[in-house]
Amino acid sequence: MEYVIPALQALLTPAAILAMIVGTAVGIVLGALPGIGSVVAITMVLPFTYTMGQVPAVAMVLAVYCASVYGGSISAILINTPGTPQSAATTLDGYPMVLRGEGDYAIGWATVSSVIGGLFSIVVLVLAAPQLAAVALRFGAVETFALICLALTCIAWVSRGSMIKGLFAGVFGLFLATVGIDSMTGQTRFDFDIFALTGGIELIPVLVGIFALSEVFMRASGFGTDAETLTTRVGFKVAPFSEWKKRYKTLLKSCVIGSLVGVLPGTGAATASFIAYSEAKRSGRYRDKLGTGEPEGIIASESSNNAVTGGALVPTLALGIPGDAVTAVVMSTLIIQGIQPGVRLFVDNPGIVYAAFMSLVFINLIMLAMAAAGAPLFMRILKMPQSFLLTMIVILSVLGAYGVRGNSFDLVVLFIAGLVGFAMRYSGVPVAPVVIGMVLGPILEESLRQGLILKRGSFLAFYTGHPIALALLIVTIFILVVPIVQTIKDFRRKGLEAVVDNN
Amino acid sequence: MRQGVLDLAFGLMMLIVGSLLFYESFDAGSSRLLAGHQFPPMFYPRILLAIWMLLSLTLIGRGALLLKVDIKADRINLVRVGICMVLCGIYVAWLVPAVGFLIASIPFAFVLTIFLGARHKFWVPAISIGFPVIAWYVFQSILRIPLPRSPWFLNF
Repeated sequence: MEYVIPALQALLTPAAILAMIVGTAVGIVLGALPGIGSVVAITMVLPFTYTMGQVPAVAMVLAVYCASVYGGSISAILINTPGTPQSAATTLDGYPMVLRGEGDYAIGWATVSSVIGGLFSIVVLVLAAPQLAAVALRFGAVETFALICLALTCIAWVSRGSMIKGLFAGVFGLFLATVGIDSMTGQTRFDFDIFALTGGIELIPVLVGIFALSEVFMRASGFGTDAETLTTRVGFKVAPFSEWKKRYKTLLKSCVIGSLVGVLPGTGAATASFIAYSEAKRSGRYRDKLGTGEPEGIIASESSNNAVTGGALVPTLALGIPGDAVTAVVMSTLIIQGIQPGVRLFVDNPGIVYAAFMSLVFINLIMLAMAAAGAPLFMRILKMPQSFLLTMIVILSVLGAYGVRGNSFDLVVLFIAGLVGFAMRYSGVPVAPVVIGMVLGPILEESLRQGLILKRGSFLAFYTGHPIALALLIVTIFILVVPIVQTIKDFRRKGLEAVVDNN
Repeated sequence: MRQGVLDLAFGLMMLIVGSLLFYESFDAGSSRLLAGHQFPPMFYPRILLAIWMLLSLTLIGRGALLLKVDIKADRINLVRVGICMVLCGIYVAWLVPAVGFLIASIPFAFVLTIFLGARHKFWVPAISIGFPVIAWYVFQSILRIPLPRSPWFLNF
């Protein structure tokens, strides 16, 4: 309680309130625009946070994060094109409702479910994060190394495309983090006698390039341009309480699924929404009607994908290990603001942590109010031509990359990252592990070298006397080996089809 | 293009890049860094590069296997994306640092919106001028984040 009042005071300043309102509005709009997604949305507002105070900056980024996840449901319902992948399951019942002339109610079901999911996950975050951080405080270099290895493996495993490509992307990100001055010896590495590289490769230009600029190239090349256009006018109506009462079990289950899935590294909101939707189809009260415009489907998808937001912040804040690209960007914002997420965050910066917790509550409430009042306006923005949108993304990318440290070299990095991001995405290599690798790289290297010094250079002795690290290592090996064994088995049984299936 | 060819090409390219970087870690300058340290600066990058090369080889093997199956990669408009990359490259890496954010952004926004298919007589110039000016004003005057300046004008 001692931190709650100061945190509330920090949050109820004009700057923080404005940041939450603007962040929520921008998040809803960018989330609703098909293909933009939460990561690009956050990278677009990043430059605006550079000169803000810590609390408004964190509040703004969290607002964009939560609101963009919700925003995806608007286009999913209205034009049958999910604004973000996490809202894909929402199209199954949302769009049929629009076709039946119940679009107002579909938006209402999605909004209220999203808000309930978001609020539920905050409870999970508040309860779980400090406990996890308390446990993780006992982690030494060896445990940290094992934990990061596990997280990166999980992220590569569940990334879109093949696991080899996911692992490659992670290693690429880890390597990029080694460029520049070695923190332990002060020597430069891989600078190729280019002075600007001695300071290392800045994370933000890479992040903006690999997500935002490459998105522009993807769209220009013809990817993702087949979105339908909005032709109907839709408002916002909430169904009576009696209708909600009939579906409360699905709502509760989906909130739990979303929060738990969010905590797991690499899984994300898209996975959560499909698991929750499958569960509703298995055990829901109206399971037979799912897929035909039944609100229970919207409830399952939207409450679970918004419940991921709080869950995903648990490992990010408590361990300093982002579970996916979105939380990696959120984590970068905290680092820019001088806040280092991880086990010490709850000890060193409790005020910021509690302000972040409370801002999430306000953001969800603002989201509800905005959806109710501004639904027709958001629908109109969906009609914005892609040419204008992509141009704005390029200009904002320049501001985002240059604004961190005012260095023109970062613009070159931005452009190269855009090209690399495009090549990777076209080749089916997921880009999220690159960013997560860059964020975790320095910690991984430090923990490996410290651990080896402690063990007098013996890799074999690395895990002796460290049962937690050993357990984490076993799980990592299991995750790595199982798909390989499975593919070999399938290859023997089905031939090349197995390799194709595992693409 | 077939998926197998794409995987093979990507794997090969990454193997070459990984090998060059691995070689770089042993060059004369880097080798001096080895002296006197139990775990020298190049120790960890070499582990990463070894894994990098191993994964590249696996990708090549996988690509070679996929060559036998007829799976097409997604079709893209190479000319369109190529022009878009050139436009963005000129703007981001050369024009902005050379002539400043505002002077570079207005013509770039105009050209890119036209290139991407916008034709509206009011909205194209309005967005091309309005968006960069608003962005410049917000960053320069409200947020006080310095942006690249023109060599010819004092304020922008």
